[in-house]
Amino acid sequence: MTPWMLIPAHVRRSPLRSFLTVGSVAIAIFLFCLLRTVVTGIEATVSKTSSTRVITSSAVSLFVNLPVSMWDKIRAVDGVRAVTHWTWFGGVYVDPKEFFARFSVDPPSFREVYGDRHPGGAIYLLAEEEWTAFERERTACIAGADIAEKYGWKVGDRIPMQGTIYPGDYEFTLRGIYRTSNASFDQQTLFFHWKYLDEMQGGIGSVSTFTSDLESPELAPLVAGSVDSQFSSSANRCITLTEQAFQAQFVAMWGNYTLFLSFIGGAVLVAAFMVTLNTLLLNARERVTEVGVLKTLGFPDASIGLLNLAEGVALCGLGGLCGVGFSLAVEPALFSVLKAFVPTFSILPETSAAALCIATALGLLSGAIPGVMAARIPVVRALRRVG
Amino acid sequence: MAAGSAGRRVIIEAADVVKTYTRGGETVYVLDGLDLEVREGEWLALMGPSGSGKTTLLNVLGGLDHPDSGNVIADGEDIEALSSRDLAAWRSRHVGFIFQLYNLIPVLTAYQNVELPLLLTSLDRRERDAQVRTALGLVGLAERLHHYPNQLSGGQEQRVAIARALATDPTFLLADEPTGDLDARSAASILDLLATLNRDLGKTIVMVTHDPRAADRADRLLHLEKGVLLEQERRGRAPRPDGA
Amino acid sequence: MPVPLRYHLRSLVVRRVATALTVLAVGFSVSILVLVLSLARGFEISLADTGRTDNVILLRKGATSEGESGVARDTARILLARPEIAVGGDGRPLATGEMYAGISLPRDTGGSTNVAMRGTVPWALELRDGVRVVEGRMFRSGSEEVVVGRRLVGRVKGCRIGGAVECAGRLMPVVGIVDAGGGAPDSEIWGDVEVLLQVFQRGGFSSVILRLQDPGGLPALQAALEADPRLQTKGIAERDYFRQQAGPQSRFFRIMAYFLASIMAVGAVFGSTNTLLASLAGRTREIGTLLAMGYLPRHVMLGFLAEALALGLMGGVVGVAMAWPVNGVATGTVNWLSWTEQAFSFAITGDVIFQAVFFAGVVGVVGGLVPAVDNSPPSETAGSYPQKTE
Repeated sequence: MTPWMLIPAHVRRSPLRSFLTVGSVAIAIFLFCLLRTVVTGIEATVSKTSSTRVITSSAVSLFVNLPVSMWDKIRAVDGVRAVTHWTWFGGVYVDPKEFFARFSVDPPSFREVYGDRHPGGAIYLLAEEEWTAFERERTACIAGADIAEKYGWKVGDRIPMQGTIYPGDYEFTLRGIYRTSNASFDQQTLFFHWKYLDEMQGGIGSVSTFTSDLESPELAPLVAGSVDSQFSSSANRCITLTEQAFQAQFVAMWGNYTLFLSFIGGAVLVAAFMVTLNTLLLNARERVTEVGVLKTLGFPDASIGLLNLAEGVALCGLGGLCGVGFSLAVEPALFSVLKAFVPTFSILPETSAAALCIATALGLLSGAIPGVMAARIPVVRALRRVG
Repeated sequence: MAAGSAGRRVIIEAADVVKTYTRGGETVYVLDGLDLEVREGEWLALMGPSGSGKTTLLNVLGGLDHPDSGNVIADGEDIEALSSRDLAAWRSRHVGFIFQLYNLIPVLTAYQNVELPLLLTSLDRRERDAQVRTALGLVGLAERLHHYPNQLSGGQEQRVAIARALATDPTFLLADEPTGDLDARSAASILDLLATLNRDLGKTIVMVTHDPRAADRADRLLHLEKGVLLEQERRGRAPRPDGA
Repeated sequence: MPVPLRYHLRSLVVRRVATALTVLAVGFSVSILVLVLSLARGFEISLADTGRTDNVILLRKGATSEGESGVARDTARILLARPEIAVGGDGRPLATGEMYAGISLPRDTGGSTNVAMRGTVPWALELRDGVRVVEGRMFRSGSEEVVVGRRLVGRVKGCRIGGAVECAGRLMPVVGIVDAGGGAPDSEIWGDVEVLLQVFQRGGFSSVILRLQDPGGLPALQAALEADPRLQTKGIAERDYFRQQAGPQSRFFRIMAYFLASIMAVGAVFGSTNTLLASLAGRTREIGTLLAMGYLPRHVMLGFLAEALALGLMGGVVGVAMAWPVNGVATGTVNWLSWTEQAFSFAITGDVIFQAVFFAGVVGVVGGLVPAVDNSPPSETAGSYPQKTE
């Protein structure tokens, strides 16, 4: 009962205007996908963390180190399978603007907690000989695939680094390029031997954090309480958090951004709504006589309203598809731009689905108003609007 | 010809129809207790000065507009009693409209325009196709199926509009100044077409017109003046004091 | 023959629903530009205008921020005895070693954040003369008292007179609130340097700050530092230092602003082009009348551009107005270089407004180009209903 053929007919007869409408929805949906993916990328650093790892850091702040002597004491706590430590290095590679994270670690225990020796599988993926080479050589380092690609590093390359917190001229030999098996861990970090750092500094004797791998996730509160109480009276008071809670601190720093980005995303969609509503209203204005003719021919009011609604959904839905398609197409290119700011950038299926739902909703909303108007206009008045 | 249709059954019967508009606080009686009978197979012409309510009368007869009071019985049905949804369905079965400005849908081809009213019937695609081709053939546009309205001349556009009005084989046709926007030659050929439809296919036609040549072709001519109809004195008869 | 401006502007009024929706669509894009630019501007103000040009911060070579830097006491002693140092009112040399650290403190709104803690001297206000105590008093020498920057008040727990901040297991009482007029100290906590060095178990300073006797003496000082290999120290003007601290992040904000805005601009251009095309489709007769009256096609074209420009500018004004409520709203972010909370306010300054309105105007004009060039009845109208009178 509804003359559907009018929809493609209108679209075909005003190709420019149809393109502009579809285009403006596509742009809004593209921006939505982009902003949403930045947010989910940041959130992913928390949500995909392991529940068997807990991290111990200074209660004062992350900038304060803990003595390496705590290592043995944490290892001795019941329920702890293995412990490794990380130390933030800072440093300058070529130019202060070339920024990526550099940590000194203890390779053997690092391999047990994050590498191929972990019973639950590796986070950092390296071939066995790469792990061995990393362990064996004091100045060896491993680097994430993203930065290795950015700087064109190959295994065997020498990487010079100037110390900032720990002054001196360092030189590392790249012994492995890792990928990560988990979105919570980026591929943009360089790891080298803590012993090399300790030696260069004539004994720093301290580390930034300890990571303990537990025998089971339920032990986390117990182990955390036991570690923290052991040092509560010393000058090195520490705080032990699950990996998730630890990462959440960093995300909390981004907290303002995520809200801000969501807000911008909202404004983008409202702007798109204005454009589509306006287009459909203008279209409806031009087609008043057409509505009159359809009503004269005997098409029921509901069909005519439905026609407007469907046109809105068709235009916006098409825009949504284009927007999502474009986002997926440029995803790798966008990641290479955004790498410096977000740990991962992959458009989740939920994001695409939400984008398509929003596009459809935009269509329904902006089609409903002219639809109701067209359904309600008395046929005589619609016919009078000629010329 | 008028005598020929006199004995047939009444197809439209309007009784004591009143229609008013309020303009600037004043009530204007467009139709003031109007009575009208149209018989099956009749071609009736309505004339009258601008603003005399000719179009309003057509709208009322075609179920597009409701009178303030009075009855319109069409094909035995009191259309005032129908809901707007039923009225729409009634229109699609019984009425074919022809407008002065053709009112074709510009984004649809001639074929699609004619097919439009058939979408409201239970015909399947193949049956519709046959109907469309027959209707366009009847108006002499079998060669112009896939032209858009703006690729047609005014006369051709009006032919498509007539084909659209005919497509569902309605009980009667309502034509509002069908030649009003056409040059003399096109107008004459449209009138020839209407005459064919009336004579050969027995179509009942109610036509509003300004054009005496168009009026001349009709069986019967009525004048709408001050809200009532007066029989034209064309055949030497005295005007009938209808609706007094 | 002039451009029929009045006719064009009038038609914006007549088609007010379409005009309003287009203006709003442009307005939303503009408001996002304003939002992000005012964020960038506020962030820059909170750092870039901090400090004097004749104050010099001395850092260890290679360090990019005070947090990374370290200056041993021996080195500091040599540096504090430099002849270039200005002398204050009571004969005291205007220079001191300082300590800088981020400490983790709970936010008022929940969660925690890193706040910059600066160990300095009680007379630091003489050295940093842009900073005033606005409430309470300065901390006393040798005490665990601290003063807090005004932007921390209401954001970080304990940051108010009578409150206390927890640092390495100690509760340090807050005795004063300082105002740096939007500069970096507004987000810092200051305490006695010697006390803090003990609390943090540090043997040396993070940096040394000094006032130059000769405001132009920085190059000479830099050369002297370079010449002494024992020092391993570099000097940088305080103002430049803070500007550098803002650099990467404010660049990021600006890139983000223009990136988002330019994509949204395309959307807005699409929207306004569409509106004008549609309004053209309904106006072929009006345009025909204008041409018949003797207006030249190019006059009508210019008129359309003016109409589009007016649409855009209205969108600009609406966009600035929609974003206006955020002006002055306090927010904070983590500074990428120091990893400490940097509180600041959105700042819709004149240059932000200018950029936004300029942007809106460009969107308008570009949006009007296609319809204006196409002002002979566009193809769209070919299919619409005959524009004839009855």
